[in-house]
Amino acid sequence: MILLSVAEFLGRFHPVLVHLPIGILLLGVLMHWLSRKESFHNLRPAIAITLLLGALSAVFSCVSGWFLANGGEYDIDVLNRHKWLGIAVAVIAIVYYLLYTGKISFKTPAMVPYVVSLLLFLLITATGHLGGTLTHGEGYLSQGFSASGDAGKEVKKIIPDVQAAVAYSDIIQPMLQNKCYSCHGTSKQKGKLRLDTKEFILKGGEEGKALVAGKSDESEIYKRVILDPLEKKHMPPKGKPQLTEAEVTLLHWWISTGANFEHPVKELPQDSKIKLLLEALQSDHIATPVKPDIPDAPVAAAPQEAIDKLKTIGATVIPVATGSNYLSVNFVSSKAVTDREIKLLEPLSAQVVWLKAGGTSITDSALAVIAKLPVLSRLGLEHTNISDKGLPLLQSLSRLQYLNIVGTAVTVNGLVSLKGLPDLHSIYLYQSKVLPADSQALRAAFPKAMLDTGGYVLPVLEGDTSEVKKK
Amino acid sequence: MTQKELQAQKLAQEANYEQLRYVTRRHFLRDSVTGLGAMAFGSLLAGCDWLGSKDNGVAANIFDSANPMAGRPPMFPGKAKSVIYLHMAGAPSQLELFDYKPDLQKLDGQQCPQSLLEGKRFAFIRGVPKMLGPYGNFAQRGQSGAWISDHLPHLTTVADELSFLKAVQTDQFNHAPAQLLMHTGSARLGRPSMGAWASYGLGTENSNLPGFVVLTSGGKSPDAGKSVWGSGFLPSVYQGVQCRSEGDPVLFINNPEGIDKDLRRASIDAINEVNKKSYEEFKDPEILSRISQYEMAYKMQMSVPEAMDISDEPAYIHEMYGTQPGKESFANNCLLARKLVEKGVRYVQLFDWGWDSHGTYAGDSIEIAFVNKCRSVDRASTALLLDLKQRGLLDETLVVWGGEFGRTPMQENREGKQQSFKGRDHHAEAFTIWMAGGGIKRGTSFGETDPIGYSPVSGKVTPFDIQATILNQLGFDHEKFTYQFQGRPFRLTDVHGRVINEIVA
Repeated sequence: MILLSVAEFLGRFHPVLVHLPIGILLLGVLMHWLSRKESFHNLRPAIAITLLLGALSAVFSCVSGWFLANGGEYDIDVLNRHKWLGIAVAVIAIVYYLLYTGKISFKTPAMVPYVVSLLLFLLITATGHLGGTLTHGEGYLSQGFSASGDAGKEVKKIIPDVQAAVAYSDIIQPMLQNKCYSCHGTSKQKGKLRLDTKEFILKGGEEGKALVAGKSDESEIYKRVILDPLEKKHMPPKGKPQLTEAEVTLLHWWISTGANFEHPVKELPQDSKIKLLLEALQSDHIATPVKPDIPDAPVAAAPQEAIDKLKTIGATVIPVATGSNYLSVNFVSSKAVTDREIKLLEPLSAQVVWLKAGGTSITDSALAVIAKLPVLSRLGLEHTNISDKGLPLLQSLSRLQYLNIVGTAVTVNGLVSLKGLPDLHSIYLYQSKVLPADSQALRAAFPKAMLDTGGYVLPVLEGDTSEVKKK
Repeated sequence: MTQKELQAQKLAQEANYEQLRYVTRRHFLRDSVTGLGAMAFGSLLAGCDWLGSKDNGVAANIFDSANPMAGRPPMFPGKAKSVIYLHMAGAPSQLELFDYKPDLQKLDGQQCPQSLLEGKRFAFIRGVPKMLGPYGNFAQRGQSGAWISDHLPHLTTVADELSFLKAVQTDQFNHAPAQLLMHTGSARLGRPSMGAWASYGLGTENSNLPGFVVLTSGGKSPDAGKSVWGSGFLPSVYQGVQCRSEGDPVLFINNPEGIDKDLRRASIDAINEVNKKSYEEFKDPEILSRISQYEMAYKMQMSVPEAMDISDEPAYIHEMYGTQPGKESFANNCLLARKLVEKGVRYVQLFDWGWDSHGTYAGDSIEIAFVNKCRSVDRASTALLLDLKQRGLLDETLVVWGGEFGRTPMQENREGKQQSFKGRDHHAEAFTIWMAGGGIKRGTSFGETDPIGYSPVSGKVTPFDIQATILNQLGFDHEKFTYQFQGRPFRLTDVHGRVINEIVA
C-alpha cells in the first residue's frame, strides 16, 4: 500500500517534470544547430551535457508518467499514444546523445545527428500536445478558434414520445450536458469527476463514488444538488445555471429506480408526479415561446418636447425599462382626455409599446391615431366611447398582444375584424356588448387567445355571513 | 446729517457688523465645501462612473427630490405593474388550509418525538407536546390538483390561478420580528419596507395618489407597528400611507370647520414657501420630501376620498366581495385594493389581524376563531382575484397571500398545560404562501414539507426569496436595486435571496 501511494505521489510530479525534457532537449537541439555557425562555436562544449541532462529528465518523466497513468481517469486512447511517444522521446534522446558524443557510430554520414534531432523535435511536440489534451481535454488548443457561441447554448432533446425514450440518454444526459459538463466533462474535471460517459459517472471523483444506483440519498451527484445553494459544496456552484425543480425530481427518480443507462422510460416505475414531469418533456408539450411584448431592436429616443406635452396633460410617460427608449403611456391621472389629446401620441409612434387609455373620453377617431403605433403590444381601452366602427382600424397593430375593451360598446362584429392579429393572446370583454351567444364565433376567430368575458359570480354560502359559535 | 439719519446709519452699520459676525469660520468652511468640495466630489463621482458604476452594481440613488413620486422605469420590463399583498397577520395555519398531511392525522394525540424538539425553540410550547391532526377536509382542486381545505370554499374555485410556495421558512418565531423580516428584509427595526422600495423604484403612475397604500382590518394593527410599512432610510415620502375603510379614509383628510379649500391652498403655499427657504439654507432633501408631501396631501384631499369611496360601486360588486361600505373589514379593503390598483397605485398592503390560533380560549382556537377568520377572508380574496381578472388587471397585478410564519404540527401546551381548544404554536420552519397574477405561473406548487409538515424537504424558500421574486416581477434585480446610505449600498434582501424562477411564468 505504502509503495503504491509513494508511486502515486511521484506520479503527481509528472506535470512538473515533463517541462524539463521539453526545455532542456529543445535547448540542446537549438545549440546543436546553432553551433554549426562559426560565431556560435563556443556553445559546443555545453551541448553534450545539455543533451545528457535532457535525456535523463526524459527518462524520469516517463517513469513518473507511468505512475500517474496508473492513477487512472484518462482517456485511454490518448493516454496510450502519449505514453509510447513519451518513451520514444526518451529513447531517441539517448540515441541522439550517444550519436552526438560519438559513443556509438555506425560510420554514418555527418547528417545523421541532425536528422535525429529533427525527429526528436517533432516527437517532443507531439507528446507535449497529447499530454495537454489529457489534462485540459480534447480540442483545448483549437478552442480559441471555434465559434464561441456554442459554449453557453442549452441542448434541447426532441422527445416525440417520452415513454419510449431512453431515460438516461434522452432525459438525464441532456440535463448533465447543460448543467454539469462544463466543469465535469472533457475540458475540465473539477474534483477529478467526469460526468460525460457512463464509465466516468460510475467511476466517481476524488471524493469517491458519485452515484449509488437505487440510493439517491447516498449519491453525491444528487446530494450536492439538493444542498442549500449557499453551501460551498452545492452543485452547480453559485452563479452557474441551476437545475430546475423538475430536473432535480427527475434525477432523484432516475437514481432511485436503479440509475439504469439503457432502459427506456416505460420500463422504469413512475408515480403520478413523475409521469406529469415526464410528459412535460414531450416535444408537443413544449410551449411555443410567447413573443416579447417589447421589440428586441432598439429604437431612437422619442422627442422630449412631445413627451413633455403629454406630461402637461397629466399623462404618465415612462420608459419600459432603464435605458430603453420604448415607452409606456398611461392616462390614469389625466382629466378630460379626448381624441384631441390622443394626437399627442403621434410623435411617439415608434416608441409606445404599452398604452392605457381606459376611462378617458376618447372615441373611434382616437383609434385612427392609436392604429398608427406599430409597436404597440398592450392596449387598454376600457370604459371609453369606442365602438365597432373604430375597432377594425386596429388591424394594423401587428404586435398587439393584450386588448382591454371592458365596458365599451364593442360587439362581436367589431372584434372579429381583429382576427388576423397573430400575437393577440388576451382579450378582456367584460361589460362590453359581446354576448355569451357569440362565444363560438369568437373561438373561431381567436382560437388560441384567452377571452375573458368576466361577470364572475360567487355562490352565496352559509359561511359567508355566519360564524361558528362556541358549543 | 440729522439725528435720524445718524441713527439710521448707525443701525445700518450695526446690522452690517452683525451680519459679518454671523459669517463665521464655519460659514467659510461650509461655503468652501460646497464650492471647492462639490467640484472635487463631482470629479470623484465622475471617476467612479468611468470605472463602470453599472458593472459593479452600485448605482447612484434615483431619488429626484423635486418630484419624488414621478413615475420611473424599472431596471427591466416588469411583468407586474402593481402588487397587492394580503398579509394574514398572526400567521394562519398552513396545516388546516394548504399543506395537506394525512400522516399527521394518524399521529393525532400522540406525543411528539424528541427528535423534533431537540435544539428547537418555540414561543409557547414547553416540554413534550402532543401532535395535532389537521382540522378540515382536504381535496384536490381544479385542474392543477392543488390541495385546499374546505375552510376556503370560494378559493377552491380559483385554485388554477394560484401558485403555492409550500416550503417557506423564516427564522423568526415571534410576530413582530417575523413581520418585519417578511416586509423589510430584517427582523430589526429601521429598514425600508418592500412597498417603500417599490414606490422608490417606480414612483407612482397616478400623481394624485400615493404609491404605497396600507389598509388594515381585524381590529388591530400588525405587531410590528407602522415600521412594517415604513420607509427606513429611504426618503420618508415613500412610506406607506395608511388608509381606513371606516370613517375618513385618511385621518384629518377633510378641512377643519371654517377653513375652505382656497384658504387651505393659500396656507400650504405659504408653508411650502418657508420650507423652500430652509431648503435653500440647509439643502436637506427631507425638506423637499416635506414639500411634496404637503402637495400630495392637498391633492389627496381631493382624490383619496373619491378613490377610497366604495359606495359608488355597483351592487353586484358588493355582493361579489361581501362588502358593506363604511365598515372596517377585510372585504372592504380587498375592494379598495382593486380600486387603488386600477388607479395606478403601485403597492397595496393589507394586514388582517386575528390569525394567531394558539387555542388558549375560543377566541384564538382553531375550531372556532380560525374557522371564522377563514370565512371572513375567503369570499373577498377570491372576489379580488376574479375582479382583477375580469378587468384585465390580474396579469399585471401580483397578488400575494400569507402570514409571517406557520404553525406547529403539535398542539400548543402553553405552560405545559393541556388546552381545551385546538391550537398550534408559532412555527418558523415551514409554511405556505400563495401568489397569483403578475407574471407568476398559474396552477403550480413549489416546495414540499415532510409527511407531518414540520420542515421543508425540497424547494425551501425564505422571505428573502419571496422579496427577490416580488422585485423581479416589478422589474428589479434585487441584487442591484440599492440605496446608498451611511456610505454603502443597501438592498431589500441584504446579502440573501434568489428569484423563485420555478413559479415565474
